[in-house]
Amino acid sequence: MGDESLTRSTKSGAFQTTLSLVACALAFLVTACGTSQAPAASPPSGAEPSPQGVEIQKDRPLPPGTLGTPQTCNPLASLAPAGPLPPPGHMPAGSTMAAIAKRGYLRVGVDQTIYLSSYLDSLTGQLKGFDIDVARQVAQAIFGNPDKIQFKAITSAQRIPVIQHAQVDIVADSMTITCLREKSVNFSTDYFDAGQELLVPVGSPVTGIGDLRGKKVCADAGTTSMQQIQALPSHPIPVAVNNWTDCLVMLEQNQVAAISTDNSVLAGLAAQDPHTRLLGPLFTTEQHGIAISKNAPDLVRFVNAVLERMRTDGTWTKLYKRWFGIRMGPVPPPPPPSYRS
Amino acid sequence: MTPAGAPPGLLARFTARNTPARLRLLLVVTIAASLLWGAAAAWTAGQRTSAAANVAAASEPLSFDAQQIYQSLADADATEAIAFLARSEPPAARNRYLGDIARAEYYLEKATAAAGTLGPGAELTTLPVEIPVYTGLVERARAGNQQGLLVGAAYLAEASHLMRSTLLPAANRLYQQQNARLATADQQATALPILAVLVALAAGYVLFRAQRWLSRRTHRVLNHGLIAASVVGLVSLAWLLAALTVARVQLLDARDRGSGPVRALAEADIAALRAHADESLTLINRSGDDVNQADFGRASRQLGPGPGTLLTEAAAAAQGSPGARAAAAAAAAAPAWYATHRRVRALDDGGSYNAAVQLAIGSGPASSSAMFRRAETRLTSAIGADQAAFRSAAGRGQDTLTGLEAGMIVAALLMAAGCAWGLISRLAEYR
Repeated sequence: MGDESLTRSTKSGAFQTTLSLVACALAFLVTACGTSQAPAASPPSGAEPSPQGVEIQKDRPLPPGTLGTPQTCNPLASLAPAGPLPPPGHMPAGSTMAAIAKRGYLRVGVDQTIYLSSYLDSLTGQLKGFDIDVARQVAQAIFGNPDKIQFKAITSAQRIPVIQHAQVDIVADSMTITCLREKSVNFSTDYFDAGQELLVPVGSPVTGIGDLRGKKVCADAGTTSMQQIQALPSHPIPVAVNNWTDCLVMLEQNQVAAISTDNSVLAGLAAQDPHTRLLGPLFTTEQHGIAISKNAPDLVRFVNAVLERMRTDGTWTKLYKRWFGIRMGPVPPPPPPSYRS
Repeated sequence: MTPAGAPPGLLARFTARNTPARLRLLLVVTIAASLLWGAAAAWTAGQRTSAAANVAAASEPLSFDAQQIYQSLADADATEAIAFLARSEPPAARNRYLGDIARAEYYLEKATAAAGTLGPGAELTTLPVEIPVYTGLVERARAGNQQGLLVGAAYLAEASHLMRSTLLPAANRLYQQQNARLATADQQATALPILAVLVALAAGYVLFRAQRWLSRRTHRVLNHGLIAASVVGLVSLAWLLAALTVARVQLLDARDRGSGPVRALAEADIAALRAHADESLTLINRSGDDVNQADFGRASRQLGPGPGTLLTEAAAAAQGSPGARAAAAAAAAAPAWYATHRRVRALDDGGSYNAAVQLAIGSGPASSSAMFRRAETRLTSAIGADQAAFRSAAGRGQDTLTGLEAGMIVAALLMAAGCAWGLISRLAEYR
């Protein structure tokens, strides 16, 4: 009996030994695998990351009716003012302006990231810029007070939806007047003429839009600028971001070769980095209009009257000089209005 | 007496059907059984001792280091956003950010050193490469912000995106790996000593059969040597089982009142820091997209309190641990923070940007930051308390096993000596 149990124990001992040998071998293999996973072959690049939401939009088809197709309308023709402006505080009864006056403030959708045009001054927490001052003129006309205004920060892609969902009364956001957009919203008369060109680092080999073949060019997603880049015959690689300043980050980090959009936006970016320069000529003309709901033609006429007054009393030129000066060349005259017959 | 015929030899001295041969065989078998018990008991004791040491002195510190890396990076993200949002950077926030980065790098260095010969994993190469990229972007954001340039906010957004898409996930993976390692070590240290018990039963059976055979063959009821060996065997078995049981109870206690709650509390802490950063980032990023606000919503829903949420689960895990009260207080403090956050959002959405910033990061006790800190400091104090509880319980468990392995070896040698004494004295009667 004794030897039997002894034999069994010895056997089980041997079994244990075998097991532990197998276990050791397995452990060794696992360890070896773990080591081989370590990326020791080549050191990491340490390259700077891309901003959130960056997307190459090379193969994305253009929305129909945007570029290349002849304009099916005269988008610049807006609704004519209904006579002279009523005095502030005395809006016609039942009008959209009266409803705004009753609410106590004008709601304006703006970008808050476009330096010089429309931006939040981080030192004061105040919104500033050309578009902001134009919006304040509208508030001034309704209330007699340019500060009776509530700004809402929106993205380029939100400009039409916030009007359609009546979240704001007007959008003053460097918005180009197009036939396609005119199907969804009303536009005021042209209040700012811009044109698309390039922003490149000082010393860049790029001399014009013809040199962009295979180079990355940055623009905000959902803008006409992005569509223009996609349509350029030199076929650059379009890089879409969520913010114009993200484009400047990518340009400063050499992640893109150029930024392309309206010269007014580019002037604001160039003002933040003296090692960049605007590179013409303008290859588009962009007429900026204030977007207003299709349901508020009276507000369109009212805003057009405000713009008309700004053109004639010198306010427009004063604001242009305050924000842009000669950054985009000589100070131009105010863009002339065009009205539907 | 020696057998007359030499050729039958040694083997015959054990296998012959006479009593002396049987006694010799018994001698060998009982000594072997004693030594086998000694081997099994000492192996078990040694294995448990090193596993307990692994839990207390290696795995838990590694898990702690990884948690420190993870927590520091998340805190850096939130702190830098606050510092950026303030019109002039508060020195306290700047120092906290610098301390966070230094802490992350210090513990990263430790984690890398501890990884030793295994070679660094992917996480341990990602973090040291990407942390300087992150801090570089943050400094560029500060430089822009100090000049009032909008591009500063874009750099901060890029930095925060890098933190959330690369650094924090890598730190999280590292933390999870160390936690898995700790759980494995815990399992090894608290496993039931099945092999030792089986060998003890076998050895006991051998000794019992030996004594019964002896008492029948020699008509003596007791063999003092075998009895002594049996008593020593029983005592060593009792010691082994008692020590392992006590150590097991203490290690399980260390897990349930220490490392378990710590893990749940740390998860909640990270989510809270993330939501806190989101609030500032929403105020900094003026592009109008609600990426960070949506993220705040997600993080706060994960946090709770409420069934299945991080804060509630952390409070439940901390039940009965030293951090229980602080964990419960953290869960209770969260709703007031969310309410203040909603007021911040209402102010900002209503166009009152400066008031929103003031409510978010103001120095008063009613600001959203103060509300957040009220919840977060409780989480960190609960984490600290439970970490201490872990260390003392695991240390006690480790102490229980002190000397066990040596004791098992000595006991086995005593047993073998007892068997030898008992059977050789019988054998001597046949000379």
